[in-house]
Amino acid sequence: MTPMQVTPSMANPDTPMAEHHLDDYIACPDCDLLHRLRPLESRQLARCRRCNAVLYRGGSVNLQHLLAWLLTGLILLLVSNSYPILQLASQGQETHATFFQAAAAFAVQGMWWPAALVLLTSILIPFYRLGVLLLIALQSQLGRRLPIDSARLLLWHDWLAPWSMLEIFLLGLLVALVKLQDLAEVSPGIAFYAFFLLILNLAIISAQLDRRQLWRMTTQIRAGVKK
Amino acid sequence: MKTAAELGLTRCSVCGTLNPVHRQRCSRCDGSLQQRRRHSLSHGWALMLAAVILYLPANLLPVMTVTSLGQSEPSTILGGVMLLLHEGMWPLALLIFVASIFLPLLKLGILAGLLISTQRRSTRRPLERLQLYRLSEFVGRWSMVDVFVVAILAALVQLGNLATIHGNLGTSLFATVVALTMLAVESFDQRLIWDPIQKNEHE
Ligand SMILES: [Zn+2]
Ligand SMILES: [Zn+2]
Repeated sequence: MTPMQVTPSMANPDTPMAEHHLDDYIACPDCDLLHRLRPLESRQLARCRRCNAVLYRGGSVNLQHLLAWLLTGLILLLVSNSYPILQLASQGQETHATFFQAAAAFAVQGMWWPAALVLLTSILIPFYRLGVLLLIALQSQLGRRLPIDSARLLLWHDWLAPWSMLEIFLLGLLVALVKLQDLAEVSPGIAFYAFFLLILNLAIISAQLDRRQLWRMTTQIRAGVKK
Repeated sequence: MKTAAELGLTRCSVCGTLNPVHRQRCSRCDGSLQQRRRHSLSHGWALMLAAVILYLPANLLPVMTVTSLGQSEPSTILGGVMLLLHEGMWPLALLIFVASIFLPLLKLGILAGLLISTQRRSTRRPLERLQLYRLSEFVGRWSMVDVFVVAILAALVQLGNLATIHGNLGTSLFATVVALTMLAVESFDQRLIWDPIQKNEHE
């Protein structure tokens, strides 16, 4: 089902639409074309007629499922930060690196700027984004408002999306594994597998989330309305 | 076909809600409203040119130094790719070459094309130009992989006299290039591609 297009008869360009009608329409994020909102089956996607961008998603979030996935993600993130991610043995010597040590290696060597970038993109931003979703889902589930500005947190969650680079870090780990094969005996640690599961988990979460629904949840929290 | 802008509406870039154009802040999320990203083209140019300037030194300076049995050997990105080829690991060599050398160039080329064509208010092939924009948005982040590899190697290979690995200035510059191109893509407002077409339709 494609959402209906707006024809001039429905909305006259000379007279701006009445504000209470605005929620019936959506503008394409990529080309600004206006579409009328149509109810969709669950998991259905509405796409722009002109540029095929995803406009919105059908169905609503199952809060319990979402919370379960988010908590799983949090546990996986903690596990992948507390155990060695790669182990290395060469001529009787053994070393290993945790996720955090890898992210902080540049700082140890005095290279502050790449250290900050790696730390942000591989730990702090993913952790922040997971935490924000957890806070919003929890407040919706409990029907209670915590003394935090959820809207501002969600704003940053959206802005920071391209800067969460866990999957790229995973590729980096794989490259490092292959590169070191000749030099020494390398093997992935517990954290490596937790990390892999974490990326799958995050993909599942983002597949069921819709920005509009998240914002509806957040504004409901703000207004103090129970779910 | 009507756009929100033509009907005097602004789409909130944060939550997607439509607002009348005179509003400063979104009625749903209170985010600040801009019909099109402000200074989109000039910011895009500035960030892109900065990335172009840093691209060459980032590729010429060593990204890391391997110290093994008292001998230090610095290596550049291209040097690393050649070494991998020499060792017969060509899939890995290809991956690093594409992510670190080819993709940043591709992205800078796409950005330049988009900025020039949008500035001249071109009406040609808008869908193709949007798809190029989406491509550069999607692939750009993956150039960071080499920075992560150096970080992981530097953390892991600390075997005293046997072997140690240090990051070098090239890595800092390269990380900056990737960050700048990402910011340039984010500052470009893709809806500007379509605006001249809307205008033509009504003339
Ligand atoms: Zn569109
Ligand atoms: Zn908004």
